[in-house]
Amino acid sequence: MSRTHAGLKDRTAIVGIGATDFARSAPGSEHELAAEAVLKALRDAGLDPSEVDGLCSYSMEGVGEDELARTLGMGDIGWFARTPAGGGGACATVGLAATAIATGQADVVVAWRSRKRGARASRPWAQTPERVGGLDAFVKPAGLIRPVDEIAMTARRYMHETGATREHLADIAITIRRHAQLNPKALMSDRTLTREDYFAARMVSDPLCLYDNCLETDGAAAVVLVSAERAVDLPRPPVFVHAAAQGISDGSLMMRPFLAEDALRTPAQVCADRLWGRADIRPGDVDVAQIYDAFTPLVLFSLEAYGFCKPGEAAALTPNGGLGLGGTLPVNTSGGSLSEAYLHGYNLILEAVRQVRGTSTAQVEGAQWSFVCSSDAVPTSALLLRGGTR
Amino acid sequence: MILPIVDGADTAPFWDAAREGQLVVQSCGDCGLLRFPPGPVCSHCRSARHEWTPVSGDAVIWSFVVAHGPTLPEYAEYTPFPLAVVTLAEGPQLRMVGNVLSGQDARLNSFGADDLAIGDPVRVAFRKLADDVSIPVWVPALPAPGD
Repeated sequence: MSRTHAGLKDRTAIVGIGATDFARSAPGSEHELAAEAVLKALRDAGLDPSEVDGLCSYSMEGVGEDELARTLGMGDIGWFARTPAGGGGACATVGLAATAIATGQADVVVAWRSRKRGARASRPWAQTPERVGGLDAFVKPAGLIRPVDEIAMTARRYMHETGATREHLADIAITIRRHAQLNPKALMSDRTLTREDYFAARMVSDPLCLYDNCLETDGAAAVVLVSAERAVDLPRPPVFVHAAAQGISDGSLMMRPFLAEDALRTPAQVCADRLWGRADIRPGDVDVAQIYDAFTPLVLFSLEAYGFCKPGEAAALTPNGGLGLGGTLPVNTSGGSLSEAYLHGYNLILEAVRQVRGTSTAQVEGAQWSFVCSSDAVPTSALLLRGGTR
Repeated sequence: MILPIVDGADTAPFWDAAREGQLVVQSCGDCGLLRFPPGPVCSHCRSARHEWTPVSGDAVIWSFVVAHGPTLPEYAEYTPFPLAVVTLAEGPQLRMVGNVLSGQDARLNSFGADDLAIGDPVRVAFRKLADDVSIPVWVPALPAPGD
């Protein structure tokens, strides 16, 4: 029942989006960045901060709901919640907000992520304590310390089993970079990436090189949701939340899916079952996809998990611009985490909205169905957004 | 080096055994299922009873990476060095992360990317990191007689 329950279908809409500029080093605090992004999103929605009564962000978010509400003069807040699992929780903030609105717990919900990770010293791995407990005790002392090491571990096994190669990973990095070059806000908007550049780059965690890694960024992004009924009275064309889903695959642990017996059955495979079960369309009907790309192999995992190809065949989608504009499935059209900004996947949600609005810098003509997903190496989430009338 | 907390309530027996040169995992006190990493309840029969059981120390490489910098300062001098996930001979549900070395006291970079392959047989050894800490590491398994 729950796998196919359509209770949220088109009942809420994203009516505002906002983001700060993206930078490797921004002067403001995360609090200041969050305030800027949320204000922009509310202005975009044509709503005053005092109309907000719900707030949603990640469990890792550093800015408190109370702080944000007070700073922006939101007044009283009646609903708030957070989603776990780092970049896996991005789409879940929207799903949760939609649930709150659809069940009458809130009328206007702001969901956001603010993050200052441009500086290397700001990254959690660089702050590993001298003694570690829990699962870390069995993982970090050997030197498996950074997220890239954890992803590379699963990636090599995936490549071994499917025949995917670094050429395919290069395709992904290069395609997404091309999209960034169309987006003046992207951190890499003026930097080309050739196949030669890719293969000349230093390795970071073999089989992954520099260009398989996202851009740690300072910045913030926010969305505003209201009911579908209210959305039609607001200035922007509503972008309906058609379906939302989450998933944890059997035995998989955060960033360490390799500890699950069936390690290549990723969290997104569970999420996908539920997403499509609640949707009116099939993967082949999607016009454009924003796929969580903190590391290039995650794009392969998600393409496969969400049914955009047959199992084990994601690599066949990447050559000859298959993931570019005019390709089989255009992905990460603003430059994604690899070349626009890494905001734990929040900028991907904004781009999914722009595609439906028809305002992307790499617009897929007539896009009506916009897919976006969160990290496929942790408890994850995904959204199917649609335009048009309800 | 980053060290494990070796006196945690759920994990101390693992580190006690490692100090003695023995690899142990939890086994369910009711259905006997072996499990690692440790947990409070058997995921199969949900029994909270468990004991710590020695395993053979035989494993195969499930996957590996070769870590290049940047990394923490105490590891940087060894980059690039390999890291593996191995599957224990006792079952596909038993995976461990560890260094693959030419010998238990070899430098972390005693092997490079071309020296390892998925499926390679390895055997546990123990590397002393501090007075109270030895961690399991993996060395190539000697070929069986007749190989």
